[in-house]
Parts: sequence; structure tokens; C-alpha cells
Amino acid sequence: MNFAVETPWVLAGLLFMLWPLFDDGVRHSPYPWLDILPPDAFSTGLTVLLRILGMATIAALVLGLAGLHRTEQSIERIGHGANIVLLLDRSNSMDNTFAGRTPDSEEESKAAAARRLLTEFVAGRPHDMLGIAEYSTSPLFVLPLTENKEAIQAAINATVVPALAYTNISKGLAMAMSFFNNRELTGSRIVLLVSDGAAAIDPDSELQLRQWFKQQQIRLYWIFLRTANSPGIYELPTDSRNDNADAMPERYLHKFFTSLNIPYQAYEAESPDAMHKAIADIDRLEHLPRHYRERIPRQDLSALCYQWAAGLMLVLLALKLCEVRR
Amino acid sequence: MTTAPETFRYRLASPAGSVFPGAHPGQMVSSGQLFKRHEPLIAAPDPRRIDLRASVLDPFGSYQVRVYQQKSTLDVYLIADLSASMSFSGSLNKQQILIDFLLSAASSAFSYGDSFGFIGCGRQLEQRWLLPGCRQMGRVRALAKNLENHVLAQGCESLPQTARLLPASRALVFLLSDFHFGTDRLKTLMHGLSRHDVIPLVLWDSAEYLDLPPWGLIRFQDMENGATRTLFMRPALKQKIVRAFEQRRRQLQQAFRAFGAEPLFIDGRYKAEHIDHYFQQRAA
Repeated sequence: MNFAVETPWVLAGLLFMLWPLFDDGVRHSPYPWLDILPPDAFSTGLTVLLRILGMATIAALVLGLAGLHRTEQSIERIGHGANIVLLLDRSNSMDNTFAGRTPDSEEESKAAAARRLLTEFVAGRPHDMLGIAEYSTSPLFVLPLTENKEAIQAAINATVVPALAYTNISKGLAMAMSFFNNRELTGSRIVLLVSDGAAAIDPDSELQLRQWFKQQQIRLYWIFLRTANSPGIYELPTDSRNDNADAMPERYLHKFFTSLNIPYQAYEAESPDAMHKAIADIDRLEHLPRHYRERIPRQDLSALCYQWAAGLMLVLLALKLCEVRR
Repeated sequence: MTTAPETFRYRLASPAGSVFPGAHPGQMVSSGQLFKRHEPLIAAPDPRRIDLRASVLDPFGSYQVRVYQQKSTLDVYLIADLSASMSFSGSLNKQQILIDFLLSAASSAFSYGDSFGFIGCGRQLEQRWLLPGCRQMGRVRALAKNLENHVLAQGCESLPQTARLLPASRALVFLLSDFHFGTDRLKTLMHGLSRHDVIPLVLWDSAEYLDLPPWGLIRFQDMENGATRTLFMRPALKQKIVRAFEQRRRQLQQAFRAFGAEPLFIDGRYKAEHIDHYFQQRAA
């Protein structure tokens, strides 16, 4: 309970609280001799009450004027969830359907399917920290790791804009991992790569990525949205001459991920249903307990102060109307 | 002050001791209407009043003279409490009642040919509120006018000091106050005045207790010390206050009766008949 005020000097007005101690506000009537009046516990109680009411009213008004608020706070919570970075492919091909055609009213594009399913995925996991990165020719920083579900949804919805050019997966992965840099995060760290193609990773980047994957203890999920008639992850080359990273980037990327010795799972999805299955699978797997701090935004209490002041003033007004008039 | 003040008739319970001839039965023997006793001619050398029959019957053969009770003058004093509470204004202003009574008592005294004096008691005795026994209505009127314009201040501590300002012989002393002070001070006051015939006039107002509002919030400020007290008036509390005043009335009566004085409660308007009544009851 951290309270603070906007304009502290207004708090000097709290000195006015002493005023009701000397004067309870009831009109004076001269009386020759008070000692003769018998003691009356009810009246004494009412006098004390009047003074307390007066002091409380002044306090509420002054606190309202000073702008009382509760500062931003964070509460430590334990939930089942994970720190997930969604790494989305924004290459041109994502705007095509799974069949490799332009989307029409019957078939949705891969990007739209990914958007829809990820939206469901995010909505079903309230305790996750999510960050979003995208990549195309170069990586795009979209949203850092956050708990703000509205921002996450907005970031996912923002992928509506048409996709960009090519696929540069190594830089995308580097950026996704940079999300975990310098953050104390409990619970599992997940990179969820959604792409419809792969690219060769040059040896320099490969070395760097290996090191980072080890350091960050990342679990990697790859949802490969396979377009019809394109090479799959597990496909073996028919001709040994084609067995290189440039000809079969998917196979080699998969081999690279497998060789990292980190928890890694690849899903090859050839339709929205298959993709749905893959996401449900991840959803089920990643439920480790996670410590996280929930942030409670600053609460303005001046309105509450004014409400109290108004209520107390009504009571005082009622008592004032009870006053004897002569 | 266009109308002449009402006068009332008063008398002492016991004969007055003054040597000056006046209108009240006294202890002096001289020329008068009422036969008192026989005295030897040596004691009362007035051969005109020799009672021959009594002289013959006297076994020692001395001349007996008839002596008569001489009517004497009386000193009338008004001791008034000039504390702030005496300016209480309920159904009537107590200060105005004080002035009315001052004029009424003075003109009554002068109609008997008696002298009248006034002692006003505030925190200290002040020269301007002292009027030694006199027979001039003008001085009394001037005093009344001053009193009318005076704002009464707090305290009546000088009340017990009044005894030394009163004559040595028995005087009729009207003691006018609301007696809103402790019984101890009252006792010292009455001790000092025990030589005189004291008529306590208790000035209360029905607004102090009977005419309080039955319901509502009210804050009383003590006229003497300025202390305040907030009361939530309700019929039960009003009853309690009325009972407190009745108890105070009995307490005052007991306190005064212990000194042989019967208090007269003036509640509301002052009327000379009340004083008349009081003296007639006392003589009976």
C-alpha cells in the first residue's frame, strides 16, 4: 500500500484539521451557567462524533486536492506459463494459401491461419509473458516480453499488413533470443518459430546462434507451414548432389536445430488443422510453474476522497439542519 | 423613564436600631404613638409624660414616666451581582430587571424617608458602581443610566467584600443575583451579611430551563468563562435540566434559610407586588 500525493504542499491544509477541535460548528447560544446543566453522555458522544466528522471531511478534501494516489505496484505471483517469443515469418509466401495460391473466400492464407490460431493460443494462456519478433530480409522488433494481453493481440493483428520480401532466419533467431538478454526470468524460455520456409544459415551466424541457444537455455518449437509440393523437413534428397543447405534449407535447418542439443520440437503443418494440432500440443507441453510479477497500475484516489468528503459533508449538513434556530 | 417607578412596602422583621426618627418601628424610645414602658424620671427626664397612677402604685415612690416607641429610619441597600451572566437575555433582559428594581427600590425607600445605597459587584468593587446611603433620586437615576449602557464583564468575586461597605447597624439588604455560583461563595457572602436583614432576590429566566427547545442541536456558551458545550436537546434531557434547576432552587432555599433569609425567585418580569407579597407573608 504505497500512497503518494501529486502536490505535497497542499498537505499543509491538514493543519485545518485542528480547527474542529476548537469549534464544532454549532451556533453559539449564550447561557448563564454551564455547571448547572446535567451531564449527558449522548450529547458528549455526539460532540466527539461531530468533531471527528469535521476532521475527516477536511482530511478527505485536502487529500483530494493534493491528489492522493496509490503508486504503481507489482505483486509476485506464481502461475503456470512460460516466456514465449513468437518469431513470425513475414516473407511473401506467407500471404499465400497452403496450396500456394492467392487466398480467396474459401481458403485462408498461411499468415491469416497463423494469426487466427496464435490469437486463440494467446487467449488460452493467461500467465505467459509473450514477445513478438518478425523477420523477413532483416529482423523486425515488434513487442518486447510483456504480460499485456491487449498489446500482444494488437501485435498479432498487425500482421494483417501484406508481407515483405525474403527470409533471413538467422537474424530473426538472433533477435528472438535477444529478448531474453539481461532478464531474470523464471519458468521456461520458448522460441516459437512460425515459418513456411527456411534459409541457409551462414557459418558465422551458426556459431553465434549455437552459443546463444546454450546460454539462454531456450526451448525451440518450429511450426513449419508446408506449402503443397514444396520440400518438407524430413524429406531426403533423391539426388546426393542436392544434399546441401542451399538446395534443401528446411532439412538443413532441422538438422541444425537437432544438433543444438536443446529441447526442440518441429511440427510440419500442411493445413490449418495440422497447425492447430501443433499449437495445441505446445499449449499442453509448456505448463511449468513460473514466478512472475504482476504490475498494478497507479490508482488515483482523489475521486474517492471527494466522494467521502461529499458524503461526510451531507452528514454534517443533516446535523446542521438539526440545529436549533431561534 | 417617563413613568414613575413602582413602589413597594417593606419592613424589617425585627425593630430597627437607628436613632433617627423615621417610618419603621425601632428600638429607640422617645416621642411616638405606641406605649412602650414606664421609666423613672431620672432615666427619661420628661415631666410632661409623668404617669401619676403608675407613680402612686410604685412601691419605691419614684416618679414613673411613660415612654413611647420612636419610629426610626432604616438604611436600605441593594447589592447587585454585575457579572456577565446577569446580562442574559431570555424572555426579558436581566440587566433591565436589575435597573427596574434599582429604581423601584430607591423610590420606595425615599417614599419612606429612608436612605438608599447601591453596591454593584463585579470582579472588583468599582467606585462608579458604589452609591453610599443617600436620599437623592437624581443620583440613583444617573447610576441607572450608567448601568444601562454598561456591558457587564466576567466575574462577581467581590460579592463577599460588600459587608464592610454596609452600615454597622442593622440594614435592609436586597441581594439581587442569579446566584449562578458555588454554594461556598454563597455561604461566605451570607456570613458577612448576617448582621443585616437580607432579602435574596434570585433572578432566573424561564429561557434558561423551562423554555428550552425540546429537540435539536444546541451549543451553549458560558457567559462567564466562555466555555462551550454542545447538547442534543430531546424531551428527556430537557426534563433533566428542569429537574436540575428545581434541585438548585431547593439547594438555594436551604442555604438561605440556614441564615434566616427566605429567597424570592423572580422568574421573568419584575413586579412590585411580588415584593409586597413577600413582606406581607414574612410578617405573618
